[in-house]
Amino acid sequence: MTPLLEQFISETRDLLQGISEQLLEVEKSDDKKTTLDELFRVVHTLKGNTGLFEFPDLTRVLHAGEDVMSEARENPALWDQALTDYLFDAMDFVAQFCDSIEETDGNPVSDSALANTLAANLRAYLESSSQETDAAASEPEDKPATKKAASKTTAKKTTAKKKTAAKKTTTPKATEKKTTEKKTTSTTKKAPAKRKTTRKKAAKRPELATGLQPLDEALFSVDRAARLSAWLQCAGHEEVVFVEYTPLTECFFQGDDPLHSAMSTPGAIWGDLDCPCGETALADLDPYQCVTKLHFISSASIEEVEEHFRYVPDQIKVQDISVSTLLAPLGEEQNDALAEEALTALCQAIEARDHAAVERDIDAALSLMNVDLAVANVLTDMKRLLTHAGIDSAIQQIGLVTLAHYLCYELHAEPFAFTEVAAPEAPEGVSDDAVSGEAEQSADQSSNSDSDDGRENTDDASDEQPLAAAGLEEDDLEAMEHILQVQRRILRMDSDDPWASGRVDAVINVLINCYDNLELADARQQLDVVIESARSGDIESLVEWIEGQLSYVPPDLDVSVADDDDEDVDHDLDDDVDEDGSSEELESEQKSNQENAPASSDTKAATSAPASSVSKPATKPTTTAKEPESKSTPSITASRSVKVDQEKIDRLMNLIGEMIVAKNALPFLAKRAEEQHGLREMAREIKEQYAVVNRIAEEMQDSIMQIRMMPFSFISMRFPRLVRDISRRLEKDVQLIIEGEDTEADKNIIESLAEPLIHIVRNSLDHGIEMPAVREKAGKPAAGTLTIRASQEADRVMIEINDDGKGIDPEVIKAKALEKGLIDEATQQRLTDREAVNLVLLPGFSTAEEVSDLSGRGVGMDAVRSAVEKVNGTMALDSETGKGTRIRISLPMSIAVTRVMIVESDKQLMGIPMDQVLETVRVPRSEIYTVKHVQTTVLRDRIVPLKSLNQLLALPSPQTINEEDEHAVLVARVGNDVIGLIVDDFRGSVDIIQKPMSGVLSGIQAYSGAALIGDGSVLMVLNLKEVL
Amino acid sequence: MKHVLIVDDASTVRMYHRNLLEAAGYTVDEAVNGIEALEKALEGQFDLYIVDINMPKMDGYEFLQQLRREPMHQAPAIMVSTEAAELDHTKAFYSGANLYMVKPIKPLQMMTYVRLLMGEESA
Repeated sequence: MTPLLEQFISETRDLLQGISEQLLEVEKSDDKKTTLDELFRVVHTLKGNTGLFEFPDLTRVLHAGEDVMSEARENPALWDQALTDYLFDAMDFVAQFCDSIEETDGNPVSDSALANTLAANLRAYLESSSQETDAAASEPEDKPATKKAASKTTAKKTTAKKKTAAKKTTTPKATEKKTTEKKTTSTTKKAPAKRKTTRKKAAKRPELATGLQPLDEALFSVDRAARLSAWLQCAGHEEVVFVEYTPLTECFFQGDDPLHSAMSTPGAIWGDLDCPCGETALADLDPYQCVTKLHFISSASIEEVEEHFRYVPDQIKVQDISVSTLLAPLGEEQNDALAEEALTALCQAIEARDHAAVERDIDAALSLMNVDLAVANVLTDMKRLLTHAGIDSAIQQIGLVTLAHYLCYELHAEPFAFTEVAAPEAPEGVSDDAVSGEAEQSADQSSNSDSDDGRENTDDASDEQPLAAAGLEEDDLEAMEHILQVQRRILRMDSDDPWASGRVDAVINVLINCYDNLELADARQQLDVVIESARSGDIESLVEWIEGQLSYVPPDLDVSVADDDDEDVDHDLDDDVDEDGSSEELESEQKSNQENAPASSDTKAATSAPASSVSKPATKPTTTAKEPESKSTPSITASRSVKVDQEKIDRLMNLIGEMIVAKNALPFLAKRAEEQHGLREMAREIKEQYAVVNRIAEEMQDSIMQIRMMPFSFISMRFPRLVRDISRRLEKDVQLIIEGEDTEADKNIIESLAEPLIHIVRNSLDHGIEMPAVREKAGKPAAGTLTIRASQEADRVMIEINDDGKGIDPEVIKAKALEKGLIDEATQQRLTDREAVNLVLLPGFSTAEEVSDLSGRGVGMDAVRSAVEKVNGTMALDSETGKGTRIRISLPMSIAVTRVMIVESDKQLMGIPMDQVLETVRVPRSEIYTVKHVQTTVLRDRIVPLKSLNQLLALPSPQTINEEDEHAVLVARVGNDVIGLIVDDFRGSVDIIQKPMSGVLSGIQAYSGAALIGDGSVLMVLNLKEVL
Repeated sequence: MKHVLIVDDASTVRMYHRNLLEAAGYTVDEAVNGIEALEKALEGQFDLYIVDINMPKMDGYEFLQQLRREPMHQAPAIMVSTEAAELDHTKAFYSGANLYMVKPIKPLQMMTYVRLLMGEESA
C-alpha cells in the first residue's frame, strides 16, 4: 500500500470519528446550524480525499452524504433521526471500505449494491425533504423521470436563482452588459419558452416520459458499465423488453429456480443480478432465502416473456424500452459542465471517427469535471465504448452518436447534426434565446474550466498572436492560455476591497513568473512596460496587453458574469445585496474613468470600511483584530504532532527495556570489581556511573512510556454511538455520561480494555437498565443513566461503569451458583451480598441461558474478567437491587515494564509484582498465632492470614528465621484479600521485562512469567493468585 | 529553492501535493487552516500558495483576502477545491486566487501550472 493510501485511511478514520461525534452532537445541540456546518465541512473534506483515488463507490456514497449535508445546513429543520441513521449507515460503509482497502492492500472489495442503496437512501431523503420545501414553489414538475435522484435539488437551486434574477430586473440598467443579463433573465421570465424546452426534452425521450417509472428506476439502478455492456449486446435491436424479476424470498421451497428461469427466457440477451443484501453480514445471511433481484433484457415480445413467467406473474415486471435508453445518463444536472466549443469539437471528432481526438477531448473534459455529473457519466461511457475491446466499429459509432445526443441534451445545447449515422431520434432545433443565452454563458465560463475553447480559435489568430507563435510546447501553450484568461478576468474585477491591490500585484507576479519561466524575453520587456503603468493605476493597458497575447478573447461577457456571480458571492461577503444595483452603475462609471481609486462610495467597500475612506487601507483594524485570535489558536500545536508507526515505538520500548535490564548489570560489576579484584576505587566509579546511567535510562523509559500513553477517549469515543444504537434498538432511553476522557494509560492497556468495556456497556443496556415504563413505575426517571468514569490513582487507572438499572439480585446469584456447584451450602449462607454478586465473575458461572433467567448481567462476565486480568488488572462488581450496578476496573498504567519485589525462599530468588505488594514486615515468631489451623498475625489491628511460600510451592525446607527470631512477611493483595506470605528474605525491587512462559513451561500456572535480571540470572515471577 | 505553502485541512491532500511538489524539487510547508497559513505566510517567503477552500477556523477565501492585504506576500496562489461551480471560481478570483483547480487534480496539469507560476527555474 502506498504511503498516500495509508495516510488516506488513517485520516479517513479520524474524519469518521469526527463525523460520528458531530452526528451525535446534532441530535442534542440547540445550535444545529453551527454543528451542521462543521459536519458538512468534515464530510466535504472526506469526499475531497476520496477523489484522489479510484474508489467510485466510496465517492458516490460520500457525495450523496455531502449533498444531504449541504441541504441540511441550509435548512436545519430537515434534520431528524432517520437522517442520522442513514448517515451513520453511510459512514459505516466508509469505515468498512477502509478496512477493506487495508486488508486487500489497496484493492478493496466494494459492495456496489450497498453503495447504491446508501446513496439512494440519502438522495431519497433529500428528495422527500425538498419536496416539502418546494411544495410552495410552482416549478413545473414535468422533468424526465431519469433525473429523479438529482432533479429536486437542482429544481430548488433554479428557484433560488430565479429569485435573484427577478430582483435584478427591478433595478434600472443602462450599460451594455445588462442586455446580456436580461437575456439570461428571460430564461426564467418567459414561461412559454421554458415550457417549450421542457416539452422538447419530453419529446426526445418518449420512452421515459410515457410512464412505467417503477421500472425506469430499476433500469437506472443497474450499474452504468453493466448497462453499457447490455447496450452492446442489444445492438441491432431497436425495441427490447426489460424485465425485473423479484423472486419470492422462499421461492427455493416452491421449486423455483429463478436464475434458470431468467436465463431460459426466450430471446434473452443480457442479464444482471442485484443483491440488496449488502447491509447484512455474511454470517447472518440465510442461504435458503432468495434475496436477489434479476434484471434482464430480451428481444422477445412482452407477451412471450409473460408467457414464460406465467407461474410467477406477480414477481415480474416487464416493459418495452428503446435500446438507446440503456445509454441514458443518470446523475446531477449541470448544463455548463462542458463548453459549447468543446462539445462541438467532440461531436466533430466523433463524426470524423477520429477516436484518438475523441478520447483526448473526453479526458480533457473529464479531468475537470465532477464525476457525479450526468455529463461526466456520458463521457465515461463514451470512453468505455472507445476502449472496449472487440466492438464492431459501426456499433461503436452508433453508441458514440447516441451518447453524443444525450450529451447535447444534458448540456441543453443544440444537438449536433450527425450525417453518417441516423440519429435515434432527431430532436427539433432549439434556438430560443433562453438556451443560447445559457450557451453563451457556459462558453464564457469554460475559460476557467476548460481550455479547449482557446485552441479552437488558434488557427486564424496564430499569425498575430505572440503567445501562440512563440513555439511553446502544447502543454505550456494550453496552460498559458488558461492562466492569461484567468488573470485577465481577475484584473477586470473592479472593486475596492482592501485587498484589491494585492490581487493585482499577485496577477503581476503571475505574469512575470510565467514569462520568466518560458524565457520569452521580448514579451517580458513589453510586460515590464505595462506592469509599470498598471502599478501607477492603468490596469486597462495590462488587460489589453494580455488580450494581445491571447489567441482567443472570449466575448466581453466577463463583467456581467462576474457581477452576476458577485451578487451571489455577496451574500457571503456582505449582506447588502439590494444596493448592488447602484454599485454596478458606479462600477461601470469607474471603468470609463479608468480610475482605480474613486472617492465615491462603493457598496462593497462601504460595508467593510467607512464610506469616506475607501481608498485608504481602512480595513487594517480587521486584520489586527484577527491576529490575536490566530495567536491563541491551538491549531499550531496540533500540526506539530507527528504520526509514527506503532512498530517503531514498540521497538523503542523493547530497547529501553533491554537497556534497563542491561544497566542493572553495573552494580554486580562493581561488586565483582571490589570483591574479586580488590579494586575499591574502580567499584566506586562504576557505581557513580551507574547512578548517571540509571537516571537517564529511567527518564528515557518515562518519556517513551509517555509516547505510548493514550487517552481513555480513544476507546470511550465509541460509546456514544454504541449506546445510541443499542438503546434505540432496545427502545430504551439511556443517557450516557463519560468522565475522565483525558486519563491516560499505555496503548496496550487502553486497547485491551475496549472489548471488555463494550461488553459491560452492552450488558448494562440490555439487562441493567429497564424499559422506560418499568422505570417510571419504580419511581425512577424514564431515561436511564450510564456513567463511564476513568481516573488515575497512583500508577493505576480506574475505570468505573455505573448504571441506575435494576441491579443484580444476590439471592438469585447464590442459588444459581449453588446449583452449578460453584459454592457449597455453607458458603452460600456465609456470603455477603457483595461477594455473591461477584460470583458472576467466576469462570463457568454464566452462560447465556442462565443469564436470561437471571435477567441480570453476567453475559460472559468471566470473559471480561480474564481480559482485564490479562493486563494485570482487577475488577469488582457492586450492585444494589433496584438501584443499579457498579463495576470497577483497576488497571496498571503500563505493562511493558513491571516492577517486582525479589524475595528469597529456599535459596531461590522469586519475583512478586509490586502492584500486589502492600508492605514488607518482620514478624516475631511469638506473634504468629494459629487460628482454625491457619497461621495468622495481627498487623495494625487487622488479622492477616499467613502462608509459607515454601509450603505453597511444596519446597521441603522450612522457612528460615533471622537473628532476632523474626519471619520475613510480605503482605500482598490478591484479588480482594490481603494475605501475608512468609519468605526467607527480601531482596529489594527491580524493573523487569516480563516474558511469558513458553513451550513446556507455559502450562505452569504458578508463574506468570520469567525475566532476566542484572547479573544475568533468570527470575521467575510468581502468579500469587494461582499459588494461593 | 522555490518554496510552496500547502493549505489544506485534509492531510491526505497535503501529502498528495507534497509528494508532487517535492518530486519536482520544490520545498514545501503545510498549514491546516487559514489562520495557521496566514501566520506561516507572514513569517516566511513563499513562491506559491496552494489553497483549499473548505477549512475549519478560517477558510481559503478569507485566508487569501487577508494575505492579499500584505504587500510583501503577493506570490501566485492556486485555489484547489472540489467545488466545480462557477460561483466558487468567481469568489476565489475575487478573493485573490490566480488559478482555480478542481479536485481530483491531474498531476501533469497541476505541475505545468505550478512550474509556470513559479517563474524562473532556480539553479
